[in-house]
Amino acid sequence: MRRVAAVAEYIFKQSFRNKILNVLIMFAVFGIGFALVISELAQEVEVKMVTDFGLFAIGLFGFLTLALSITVQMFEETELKTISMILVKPVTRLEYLIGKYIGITLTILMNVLLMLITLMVIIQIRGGDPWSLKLITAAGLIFISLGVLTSTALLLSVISTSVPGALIFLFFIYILGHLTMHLKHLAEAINNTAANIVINIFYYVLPNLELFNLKDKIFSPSGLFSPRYLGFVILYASLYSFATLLAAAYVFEKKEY
Amino acid sequence: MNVIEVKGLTKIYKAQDFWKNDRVTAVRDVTFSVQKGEVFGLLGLNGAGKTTLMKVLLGLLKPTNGSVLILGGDIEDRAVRGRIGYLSELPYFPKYLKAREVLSYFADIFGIDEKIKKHKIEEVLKITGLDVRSDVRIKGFSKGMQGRLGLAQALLNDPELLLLDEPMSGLDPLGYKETREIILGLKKAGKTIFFNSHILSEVEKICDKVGVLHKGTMSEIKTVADIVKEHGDVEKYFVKIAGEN
Amino acid sequence: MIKKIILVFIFAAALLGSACLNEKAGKMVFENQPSWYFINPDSYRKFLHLGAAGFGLRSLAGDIEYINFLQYYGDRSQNVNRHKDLVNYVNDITDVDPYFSFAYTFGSSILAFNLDRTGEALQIIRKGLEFNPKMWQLRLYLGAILFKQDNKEGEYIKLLEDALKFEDHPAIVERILGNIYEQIKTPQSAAEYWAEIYTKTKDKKTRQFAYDRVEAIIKEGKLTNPSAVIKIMEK
Ligand SMILES: Nc1ncnc2c1ncn2[C@@H]1O[C@H](COP(=O)(O)OP(=O)(O)O)[C@@H](O)[C@H]1O
Ligand SMILES: [Mg+2]
Repeated sequence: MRRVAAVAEYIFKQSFRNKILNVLIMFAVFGIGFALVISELAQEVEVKMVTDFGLFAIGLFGFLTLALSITVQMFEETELKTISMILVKPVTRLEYLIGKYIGITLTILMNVLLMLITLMVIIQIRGGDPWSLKLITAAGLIFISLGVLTSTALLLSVISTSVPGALIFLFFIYILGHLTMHLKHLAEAINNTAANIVINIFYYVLPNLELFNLKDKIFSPSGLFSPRYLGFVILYASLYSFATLLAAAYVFEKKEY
Repeated sequence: MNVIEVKGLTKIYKAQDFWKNDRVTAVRDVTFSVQKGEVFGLLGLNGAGKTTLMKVLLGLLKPTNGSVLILGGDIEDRAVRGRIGYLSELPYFPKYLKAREVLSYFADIFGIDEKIKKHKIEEVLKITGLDVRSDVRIKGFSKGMQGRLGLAQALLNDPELLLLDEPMSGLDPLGYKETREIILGLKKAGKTIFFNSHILSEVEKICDKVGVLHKGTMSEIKTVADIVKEHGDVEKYFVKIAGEN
Repeated sequence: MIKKIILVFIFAAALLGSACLNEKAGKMVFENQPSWYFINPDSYRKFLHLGAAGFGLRSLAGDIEYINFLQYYGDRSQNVNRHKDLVNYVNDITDVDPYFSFAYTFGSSILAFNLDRTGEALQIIRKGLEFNPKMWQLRLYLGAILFKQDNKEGEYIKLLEDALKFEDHPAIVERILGNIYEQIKTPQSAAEYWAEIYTKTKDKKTRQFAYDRVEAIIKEGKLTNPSAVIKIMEK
């Protein structure tokens, strides 16, 4: 347990020492601050505009933080070969992987929290309710979806041998993960068996990121903010992350460095 | 007692490239053992398979064939790994950390008790002569200092067996001397040391026994004293083995 | 070996479980807002809208269409043709975000009461009700526009006054009512109304407008009790 914590702490601290990540976080906060400027254009719906834009930025910059953390980690491990020095020590590979998962999720959590606080301040300035439960739920689900993506990214990072390869797949999954739900909906309408099968495979194997998208429904009469739906989605996230981490651990155990 | 015992070890790299299926036999049917308290030097040209052999010993690579016993047990065993130290070839550490921070992280990974951690860190800093520079960021470290930091992290758990992959590559003659002194000091402390090198003059000064790996095959293991007696010096012996095909 | 089988089993169970939950939660999404998946096939911006929908950015895309709409409405060069495309701009917003209720109330109020095109206004408000049948404020606007169509001034004023009581009314309603009051009520009560708006409105421009109106009415010198007006404004 202490070893897991040590790895997690190391990765977390390292993220905040990394220049590119720091710049990204600064950008993220400024990006949300930009909502203040553009909401100037949206007379009378400033709060909606700020909220929509802010949550969009949280999702996007959260994902970029993840992509960058994974890149930094993979680069250090594979190109600079620091991992061999760690894996010969009395730490199991599973402990290392879990530590890494926690470290990256903590980095994302910090970043998401920082952005959310900025957004809440701006909403307050714009005369909205910064403690709106819907806002906080939507931001929470963005974080959970990033957690799911982190486990997927870790799986990719142990499967693939090159940093760009893993990164390209991660972007691919990010995009498809948002689209499969709509594609499935469309495919049911067009009634093409082959297309249906392919889309269904993608739908069940890739993470369904659109389930976590409540940011789009804050200003609509959506019943998805119910505990029942949130329960489903959180359970889904846990099971899916668990399965991907298990697969990652299995591949990692066999991997040679 | 045999600290390292290798029998019939073969390592074949599978093709990295998906489309090609060329294989590289990096280590071929190697059998040898290292006894407690010995300093064992593994010599070989670049690409001879030294790093591969060491990584198999460490469990970073899985042997294709043969068996490896480390400290009488399996390297997969956590307790066994707790008793060894490893310095990789050209070690790298995050530039923005300080030596103490790196060592603190590795000490946590080793599971070293929080109470003695600080003391341990000071101790290895002292052994490697880094104690004066330990608050400088690694960014400002020379290659030699990075190597010594690599050595320091390998010593944190007070290992019985040290495996050092080219501890002298990239150093200047002064660096050779410093590293040699550290290794000799560790030998005096009763540690078993297994190391790779192609710097023959240093090997001669440090090692008790020498094995030459050539194209994945190990020569007969001889003591340095015997080599000097038979061939004059280690270099002549090495050229003789590596020169014949 | 046994360990391996157990692990494979656990993995399969987790994946299967996640697939079931995915199915269940996915169904809830569709059941909850079937019309969320509406895309107007006739819109020339449908691909943009599809893209936004695909990436879960309908609400944000709606905001951007709204800014676009404001730009058009604020463009003075369009005054000559009385902003003839305004209804299309409103539809662009509500095509991508059919729950953007403000677009319906704002767009239809402008069309009905400023531009006198009640037909187009009705089209907008009816679309709003189709997607948001439970938002009954929209029915106030529907009623007001229908009365406006029949020129029943007293009736639609009453409905607009009701609309004003809702937090989320567009500020344009405040101005529409003010303009009507200036014509049908005494200068004193018109000025008092503007003073009230000045203290209450959320829209900066309307606040300034209300201030200017009060000033203008005072300058005309027809007020019976100017200090009452000033008292309201000082709140
Ligand atoms: N990951 C790998 N995949 C395939 N071949 C490898 C890999 N690593 C090393 N080799 C090959 O194995 C041989 C031995 O390499 P290595 O053990 O690094 O030699 P040394 O350390 O003695 O210089 C070389 O021919 C090298 O090209
Ligand atoms: Mg080597």
